[in-house]
Amino acid sequence: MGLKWKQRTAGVFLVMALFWSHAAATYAQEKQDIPPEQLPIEERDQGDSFIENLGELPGDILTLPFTLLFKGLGHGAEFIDYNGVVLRVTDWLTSDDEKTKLRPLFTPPAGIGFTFKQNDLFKEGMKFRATASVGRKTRRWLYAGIRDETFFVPKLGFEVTATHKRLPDEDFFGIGNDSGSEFKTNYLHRENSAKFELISPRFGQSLFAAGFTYSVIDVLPGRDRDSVTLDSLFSPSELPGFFGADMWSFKIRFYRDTRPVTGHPTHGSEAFLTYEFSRQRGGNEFAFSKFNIDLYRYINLFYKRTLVLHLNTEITDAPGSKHIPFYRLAGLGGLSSLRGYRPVRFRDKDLILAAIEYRWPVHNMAIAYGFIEEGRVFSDVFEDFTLSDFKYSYGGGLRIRGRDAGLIAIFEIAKSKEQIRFNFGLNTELRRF
Amino acid sequence: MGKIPGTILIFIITITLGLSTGCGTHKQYVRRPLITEENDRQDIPSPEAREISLFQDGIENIFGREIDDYGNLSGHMRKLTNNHKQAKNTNAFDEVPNSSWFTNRHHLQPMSLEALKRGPNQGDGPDPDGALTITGAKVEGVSPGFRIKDSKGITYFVKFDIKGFPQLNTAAEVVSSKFVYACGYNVPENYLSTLDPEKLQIGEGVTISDKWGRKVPMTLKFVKQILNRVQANPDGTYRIVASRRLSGKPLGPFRYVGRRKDDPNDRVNHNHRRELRGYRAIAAWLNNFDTKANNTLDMFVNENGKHFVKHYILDFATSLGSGGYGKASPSRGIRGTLDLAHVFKKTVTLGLYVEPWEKKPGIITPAVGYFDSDLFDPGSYAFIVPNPAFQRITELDGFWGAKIVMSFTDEQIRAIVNTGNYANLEDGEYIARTLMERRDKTGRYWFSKINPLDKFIISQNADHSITVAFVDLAVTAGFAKDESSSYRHKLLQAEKELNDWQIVKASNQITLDSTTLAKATTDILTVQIETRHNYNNKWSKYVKVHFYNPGENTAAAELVAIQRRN
Repeated sequence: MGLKWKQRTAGVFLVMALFWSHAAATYAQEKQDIPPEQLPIEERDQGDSFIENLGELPGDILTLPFTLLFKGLGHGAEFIDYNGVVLRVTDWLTSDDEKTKLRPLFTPPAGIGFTFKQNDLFKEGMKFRATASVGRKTRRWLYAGIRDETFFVPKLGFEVTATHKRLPDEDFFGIGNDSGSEFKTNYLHRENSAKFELISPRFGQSLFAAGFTYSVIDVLPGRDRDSVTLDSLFSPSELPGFFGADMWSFKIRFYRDTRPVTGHPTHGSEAFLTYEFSRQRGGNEFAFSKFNIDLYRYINLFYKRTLVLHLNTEITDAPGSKHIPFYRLAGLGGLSSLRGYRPVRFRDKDLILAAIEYRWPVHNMAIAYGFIEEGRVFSDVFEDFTLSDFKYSYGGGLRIRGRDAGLIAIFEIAKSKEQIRFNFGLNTELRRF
Repeated sequence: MGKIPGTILIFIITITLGLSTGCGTHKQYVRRPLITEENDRQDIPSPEAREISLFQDGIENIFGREIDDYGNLSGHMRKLTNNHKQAKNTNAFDEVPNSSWFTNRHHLQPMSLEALKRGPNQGDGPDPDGALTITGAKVEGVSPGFRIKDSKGITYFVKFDIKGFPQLNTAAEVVSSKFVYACGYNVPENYLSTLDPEKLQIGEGVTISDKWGRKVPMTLKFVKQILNRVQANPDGTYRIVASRRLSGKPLGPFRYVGRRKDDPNDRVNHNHRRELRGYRAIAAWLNNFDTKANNTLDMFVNENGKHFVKHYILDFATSLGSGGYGKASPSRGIRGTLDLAHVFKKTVTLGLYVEPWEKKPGIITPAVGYFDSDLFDPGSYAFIVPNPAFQRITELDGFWGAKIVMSFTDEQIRAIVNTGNYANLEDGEYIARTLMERRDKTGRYWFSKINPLDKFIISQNADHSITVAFVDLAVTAGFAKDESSSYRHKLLQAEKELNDWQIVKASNQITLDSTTLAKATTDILTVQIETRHNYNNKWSKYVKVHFYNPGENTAAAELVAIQRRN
């Protein structure tokens, strides 16, 4: 009677626990007498033992957040699946005959948007492409074009395009290979242009084109609050094209593409040769000619491990006392050249760029790559050429491709002396004809 | 040692001891009738039909269950102590009782060539002379098809060959379903046939889901749209596989994990069913790499006056050299959808590591697709999405599956493959030869994991000695030489040894002498046998054969149970 109620309660529980465990052990022993495989299945104990459940408990607790996450993802996927969201969206973006497609798009210069493709527009072979993308600070990039390679005769067609660009935070660091990052200024580039070209496909893989472009370009104060505007470091007299200009351009292009597929070509090449002559309309300040060679060569090293060699050179020349607007100078930096630098980080009349990229498949839908690239701009490549002071960047990334081998997305990290850049692109190849 | 690590250590020791003592618990076998039927065909009300989302199933199987397994301490302990959770529906002979899931067929009672070629088919397929009425269609996806009703009123699901790959899909569907049927599973009746588009007519009121998911009337335009995407014969007809509609009410797919809660007959977790675990060996053999839930179907059937759920395996277009919508990739069976470890390995080695499948040609022939035996590894075969039942496979389950695979002779394999009607005989021969080679690899792999003695027969001799006859599956398959095979055995009574090891060579039976048998005090005895083959020259894991020893009684000696060491 001297025991306190707590001790008595504990004693009762202890006796009950002993009784229960004895009963459980006896029952278990009886069930163990006959091996389960000799019992009808409905009489077998299908549950896990106490020890088994105990062993699963800590893991269950530890993995609970992940389990819930994937359960949630699974249910989300179930909702999307049952409601046919993916199917409907994909089908909605693709016509019955698959001639019309609408796809999302992202590139750093253009921003996020959509690209629209229509094949056989008014007649078989006539293609229509349109892109509309927007970004921060009222960034806009609108583009529409029609192309028919056999419009006039089987080997002669046309391409007509119209573009509107409003790029509110373009960087300008001055002209020359030595332009320092401390001279970073910012301007708004607004351009409306229209192009008409005669095009002539040759041998199935090559194309000649010649035509005119008319463009109206305005240069305005930039919208990037973190850097100074163009006029705070440069004056109109020392920077040609300070206010923009209206220009006529005559362009001759040759393009040859021997790649078997676009997403991860393992052999073949792509060559762009362009000659352009531009003259100001409504003024005599600007006139220039530009010659550009852009070559990509894909070499299959072994089992789809591919070496991509990229060579780009551009030479710009202004006749007599004419000038070249600064925004039409050759530029280095950005997604297609010196990826570790800001877009168009270096500007001058001429440029040379060489890059080596090694690509290797890591999954049937992903290709990893590493690259190193070197380039520099020159005021006159023939007079000033030197192998010194080339800028370089290096990095690597992942190219995600679709079932039809077309490129879907790029995730990339690139390093230069000035910065580390993370680049991302979505459906970047879709904009092209 | 701090408090927390000490607690964890005690916890781990508890679990380990708990699991290992559970493993060592002695089971007393008794004379009981062998369980040959699972009582899972009792009359029940119809469960609800359900669908399983392809994406949800994929995400849960690729990520969810992997994470679950990482945190499963008792699972890790079981691996460490080699005390794997065994299948829960096997009988005392380590076989699977017949059930609504499985029927023991070829491996226990060899089927005739005719029966193997006929497979599950009860008739002749769609009536070729009468009109075929379209009652539905599948236009979405890359593998289009129709639902048709023939002149006899029988409904079939029609699938075609993908453009550029004549016979590939249709042959794979027919051939693999016959193999799987002979293995013991429920599969639909699949018939190879020819479809003449002139005989197609659209049924009254037939609708089809358009791209927006809306039901719209089926039109000739849709029919042409589908036929334009598939392989036509030179005469304008189409080679098809017509899958007869299963009888009963469709209830949707079954999962390879858990149970169907609204089916009282469904008592065993599916991932603990031997026939689903062991199907891994069979599916790998057939290169049936896509075994997701949506390639199965539960049907509420009425058989012998009882209504119950019957479980079917469907869709073998992803088998042999067929990838479902064209040829299979050489990476099938080697890499799953998301093998992150391998992606990492390939990334960090900068592509210098070339996988063997990358060196293979992409295709054998258009009718074969891609199908090989030299890269086939039965142990590491990877399915496109991890299958939760396959992930629980133990050596015993694999051995059981391999026994079924090995039960097909060269002649039988050729006979079944020929039902695929390959236009080029060499294509059929290639498929058959590859299946034979893969069969042998399957047998070699799983037979090396387990003592490959089977088909035990116990008999008592006149002097009251007992003869235990058996078949050494490794010898009969030709993996081991009979003359260099040895067997050692000892007699046990309730785990107590009654004699020392006795060794016999090049024999398919052992004899337990009456003197040793006389030492026993019970009539249920055990002979433990280990095997040594020339290919590894070491004693295998044991197989224990529990038998009834009649002694002086007039009753016959009797096999009671077979217990294999995992």
